[in-house]
Amino acid sequence: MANKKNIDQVFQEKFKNFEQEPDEQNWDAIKARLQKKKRKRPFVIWWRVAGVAAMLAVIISLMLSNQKDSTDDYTANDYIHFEYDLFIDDTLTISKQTKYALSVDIDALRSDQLQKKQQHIETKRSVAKESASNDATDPDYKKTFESTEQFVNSFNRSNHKKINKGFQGRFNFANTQTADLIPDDYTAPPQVNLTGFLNAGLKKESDTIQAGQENKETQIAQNKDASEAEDGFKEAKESKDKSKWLINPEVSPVFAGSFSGNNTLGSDFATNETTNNVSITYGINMGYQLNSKWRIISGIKKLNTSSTTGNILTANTSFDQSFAGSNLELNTPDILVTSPSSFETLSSQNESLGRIPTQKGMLEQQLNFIEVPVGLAYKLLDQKIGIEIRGGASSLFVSQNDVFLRTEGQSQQIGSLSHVNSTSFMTNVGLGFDYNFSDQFDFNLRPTLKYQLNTFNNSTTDYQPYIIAVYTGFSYKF
Amino acid sequence: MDLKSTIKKCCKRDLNAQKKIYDLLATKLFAVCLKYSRNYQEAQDNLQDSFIKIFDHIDQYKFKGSFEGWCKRITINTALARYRKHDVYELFNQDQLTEQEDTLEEEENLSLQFLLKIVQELPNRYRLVFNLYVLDGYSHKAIAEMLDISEGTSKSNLARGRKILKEKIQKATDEHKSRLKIKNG
Repeated sequence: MANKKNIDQVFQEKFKNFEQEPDEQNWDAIKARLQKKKRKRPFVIWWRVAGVAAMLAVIISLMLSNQKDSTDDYTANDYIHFEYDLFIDDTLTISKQTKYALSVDIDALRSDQLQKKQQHIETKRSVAKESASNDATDPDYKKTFESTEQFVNSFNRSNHKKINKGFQGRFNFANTQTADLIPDDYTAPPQVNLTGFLNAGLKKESDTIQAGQENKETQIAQNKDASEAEDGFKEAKESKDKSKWLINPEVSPVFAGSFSGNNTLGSDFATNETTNNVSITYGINMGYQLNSKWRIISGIKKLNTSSTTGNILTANTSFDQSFAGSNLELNTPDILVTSPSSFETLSSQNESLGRIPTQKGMLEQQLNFIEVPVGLAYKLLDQKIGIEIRGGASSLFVSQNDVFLRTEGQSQQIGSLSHVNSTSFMTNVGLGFDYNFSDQFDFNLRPTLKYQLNTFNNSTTDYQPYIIAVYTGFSYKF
Repeated sequence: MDLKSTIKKCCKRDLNAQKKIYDLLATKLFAVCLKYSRNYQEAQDNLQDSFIKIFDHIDQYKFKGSFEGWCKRITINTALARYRKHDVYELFNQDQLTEQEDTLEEEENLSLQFLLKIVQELPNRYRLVFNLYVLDGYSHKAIAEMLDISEGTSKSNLARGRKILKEKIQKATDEHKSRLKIKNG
């Protein structure tokens, strides 16, 4: 029986669950195109690898520096580091985490000191007493001891119980008859390393349990361990003399370019001439010296980039900008910004568009970031003039993303770039030249190549930007 | 493996994950391509272009709304982009169009293949508007924006598309009936 039916319904019903298997060859064609895209980026991968390698170097060096305290075979660096602040509060501070027991020959210390100075002063007792035992929760940790015996006992006891916890003891000379220890008119620097006059015998824990029990037994510095220990102290002293920290304000012009692509505005503007404007980056670096060669660097910077694309056509129309195939996200729907060739194509399809008056102009893209770099510097030369190699990676946070349209005598903010990742990464490789005015201050010059990894969404542009910066600044070490 | 992690792998351009997404959606998206294209060959081209676009932009899918819907929109846009470009703009007098009752004697034997064929044979703009409005539920306002035409043009395109389809169905039905008559007579 014939049934009157709306034509729409006929189609809707028939097509409701319409599915059709495409031929196998379609996947093959897609696969080939996907693989071709992948192969286009070997250069990019190389730079990514460089960035990752620099990050790994930072992490590994941090791990190695932390690991030292947990090795069984002790080396020079494992020895306890002494700071002897004799002239400030009459205490001996031991502050290095260690697995090894210790015995101190206070008599040797005293005689050595006497030989060297041959003079006398009175001991300042009061400060030491005041600083006594202020850590109630852990009596063995951070404590002022009243005698040599108590000190050594406590130290060894702490090692039996809390091998990895560390030990910080303050030894009160005031109560151990050291009144004749310090010269009357002694004018040496207040920080004295004990190496010179303290014979510290450091031995593996098992060897020195006995030593701990016979706590007053002297261990003389002739034995090998002790002489190695002295070397360790010297090395520690040397690196201590140099300032560990560094602060470095710097500024640089930004020269931008790209390894591929003319500009980032998208296929519509692919052939438009683009000039990268010289802009500026400035900020502050912090550095921490790991050892005589390596330094970790981080900081915070403002990084501005700007470029101008010429030969733009603009028209006042509500024609959908997205048809033009660009990465522009306009504030207003009433304007069309495109390349002349694209405009021609569009207006050939849309008669009304062809009748609209157009204006020539330029597009200026302003893209600014907050940059947080992390990296390593390796010293090649450390004289009056220093040279170092620097490498690392930066996180970039977009702080400004504006596109300005410049037509005759006018500049107007019309929108932003739609394909900018709010957080992205950049690798940095560079050289550093320092001129040292003094131990604290130096002037530096650092040419650096910065490669932006994923500032732009890769799928929307082939544009691979880089930046060359030549930083100049001053460093202050402390 | 769930869809979300497969999509995330696709963001890293993992070919196996891309193949999984293809296997999941190819039949549905190919149907879309067939409806919006002029023939089988062009539907295949549109399908390939669509998948390339999907994989290029997959990191822009924010897991809001259905993934299938998102892919379908990309596929439709790909087809629109192709035929928008190639379309010849026919000028016609809209006053000539009178509201007709677009009904037909239902023919149970109308095959999907036949309906698809006559949709594909429609002029580009009529086909796009018919698909968007009737089969994919877009409003005339949305279609006007998508194709950069006025709402009035969208409506008249739809009416003309329907008319052509109806005539073809009618013709086929008549032929079918006359064949039956000859057979029975």
